[in-house]
Amino acid sequence: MPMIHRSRRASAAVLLAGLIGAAVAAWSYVTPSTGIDHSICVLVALGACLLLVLGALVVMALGRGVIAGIFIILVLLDILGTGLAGYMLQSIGIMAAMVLAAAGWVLWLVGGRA
Amino acid sequence: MRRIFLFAFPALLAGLTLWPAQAEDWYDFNGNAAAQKYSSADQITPANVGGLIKAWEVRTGDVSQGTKGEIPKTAWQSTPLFVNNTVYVSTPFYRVFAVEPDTGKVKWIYAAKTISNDPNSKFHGKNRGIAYWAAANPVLGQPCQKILYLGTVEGHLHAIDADSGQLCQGFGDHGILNVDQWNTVNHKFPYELNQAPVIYKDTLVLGWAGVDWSWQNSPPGTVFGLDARTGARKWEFQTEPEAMRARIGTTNVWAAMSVDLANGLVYLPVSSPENNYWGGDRLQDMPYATSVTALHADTGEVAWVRQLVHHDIWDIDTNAAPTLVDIKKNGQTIPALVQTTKQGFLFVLNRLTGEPVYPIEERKVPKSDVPGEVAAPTQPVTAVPAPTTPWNFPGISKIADLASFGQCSKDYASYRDEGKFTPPSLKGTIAETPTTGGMEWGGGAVDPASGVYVVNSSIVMQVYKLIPRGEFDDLYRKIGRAAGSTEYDSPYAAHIFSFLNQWGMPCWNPPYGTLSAYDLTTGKLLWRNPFGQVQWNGFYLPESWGSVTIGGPVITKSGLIFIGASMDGRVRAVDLKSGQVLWKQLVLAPAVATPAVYTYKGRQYVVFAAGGNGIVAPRVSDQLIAFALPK
Repeated sequence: MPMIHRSRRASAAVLLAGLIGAAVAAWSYVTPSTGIDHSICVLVALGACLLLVLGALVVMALGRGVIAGIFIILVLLDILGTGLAGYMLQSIGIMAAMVLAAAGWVLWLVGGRA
Repeated sequence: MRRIFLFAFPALLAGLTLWPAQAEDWYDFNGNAAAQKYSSADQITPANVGGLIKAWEVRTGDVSQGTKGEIPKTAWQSTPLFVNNTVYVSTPFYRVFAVEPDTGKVKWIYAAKTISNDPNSKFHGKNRGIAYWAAANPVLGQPCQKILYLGTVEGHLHAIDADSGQLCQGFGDHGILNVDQWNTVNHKFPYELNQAPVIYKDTLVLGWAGVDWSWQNSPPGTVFGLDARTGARKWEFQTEPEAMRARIGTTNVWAAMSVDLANGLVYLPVSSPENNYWGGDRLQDMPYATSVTALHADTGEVAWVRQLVHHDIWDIDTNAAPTLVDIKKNGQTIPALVQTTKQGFLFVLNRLTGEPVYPIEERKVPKSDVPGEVAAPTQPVTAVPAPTTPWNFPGISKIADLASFGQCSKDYASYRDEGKFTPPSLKGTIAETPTTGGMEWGGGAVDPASGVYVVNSSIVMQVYKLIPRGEFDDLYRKIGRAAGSTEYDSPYAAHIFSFLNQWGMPCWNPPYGTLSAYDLTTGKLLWRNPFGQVQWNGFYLPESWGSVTIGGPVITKSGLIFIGASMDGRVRAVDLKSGQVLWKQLVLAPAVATPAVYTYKGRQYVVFAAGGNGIVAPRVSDQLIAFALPK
């Protein structure tokens, strides 16, 4: 695994994206005018966003190491999956949150230091 | 007013044009008596439709999600009327709202007392709209010179003064006619008056719906001609031979009808008889079953009949009002009608004689292998206009098959499938002519000037499995109504289900729904596109797959099609020339009601009842929403 520098800024971006995505998903679940309210898939997206928050916290806590690296890969999969879910739910909010998360993830890779 | 003028001078109008442009009004469930679903309004055009905004919205409160303790999920399929400078709409709770056409402000509400609002009742209806009649020579100052008619689930027809919202005391018993009093043969259920009557001069023509799929010997089909002022029965038309009425039920007219005002003819889309899927007890000739039948509206006498399915054992009722239109062809004007069908054929007939405008072939079809059944050897088929559904199974969906670990393929191999009109069987038959497929009760729309006809259609594969009486009762105990068609008093019931995998994914290849446009002068298909999107647990599936649809389109003079109908809960404007979607808007539930178009005080409105019906998608609502261009 290449050396990966994790910045607090990058982690904060992923964390914030997860929180925004979760908030949008929760709002979408309870709001009839979204067209996706009370659907299973928006609940799955909500869960995936919360896992993203968890992943960002773990990476922040661990800093470096193999486990942190594994979590970074898992976070990428989460971002891609949730982004696809946002696309299929036609939820611009979830997709935008995942763009922010992807930006944070790229920041992890390029290794900006806090 | 326009309607009065129209009734007062029918001969003059016939000489000028059969259906004068109703630029402002939408006075019938299908726009006009000819069921053309056409508006000559032209303010909203392909160029500016992208700017449509919500003009007003009414939430009626008449919705049930069908949760415990409530009445079952509501089905709101009511096309609003615009007439008498008012928007009128009826709800699944059998209330009529009179609404100001430019603001959405409610003028008055009429609430029918009905058993369907009681959660403990066995009968819960759906509502598909109201009818409007105006006296040809109104007496000034007298009420009920303009009447709205609302049917209920217990067979009551309410006559409501269109100005005040009060019952018309001279109609029936103080404003309510008990049509169910004439339900005297096999009264298994009351006549459900879901669909409003159609009107010819001072005659209401009324059919009924019922509890389908339940008893072989349910009430036999009857259509009534009633006096518009009093409700007195002028005539009745029996759809079944006298000798069969006590044994075989339905063959009824549950869908909208259309009326040729100039020629005094009313056109009936007649449904299939019970048992819907096994006809061993009804092998005799039933000429009106699954037909389009023309009656003289004054007398109820038959002008002509054309059967569209012989010995129907697929429950593919003729289910929509035929669209009446004059076709200009080879220098001649042909008085025609277009009859849509569940089997995907568009039958274009001369509406005065019933003879085909485009050829109808009697094609050999597979035999039944079920004891006692004798399937018809041939069925009527037309290639022009091009059918909306395929003759053969469209192939197994690789995605659904993969996701089900090959279950789709295995199941398909176990079923009987020899293309359209393969009879139901004991091992299960793939039905390419399913009861939920093809063109539903929304029917099509036509531009009478250009002869361009537009219709939405679903491509659904269902499995029809006949089950001997005794075995079915076990299945019914296990899965309840999902078992399918009980057909009591018959040797066979039927397990009917869509061909899905365990995840609810269709096992056949898309598209699942299309929108098509035809040139009726040549019969040629102008364009066909997948329409709408399937929504699966929130996910929108690709647009190229289309959606199952219920509810019809409307056409405007400016070259636009407006339609809801799809699973995704969106309403759309489509370019009539190209078929491209130019505008779409999310509403609170699938707009399974055909929209209405009207112009009031110089502004054009398109209004949708976005109520859903729990069939195309689980979502239901009470939203009546109108769109217009910004002021």
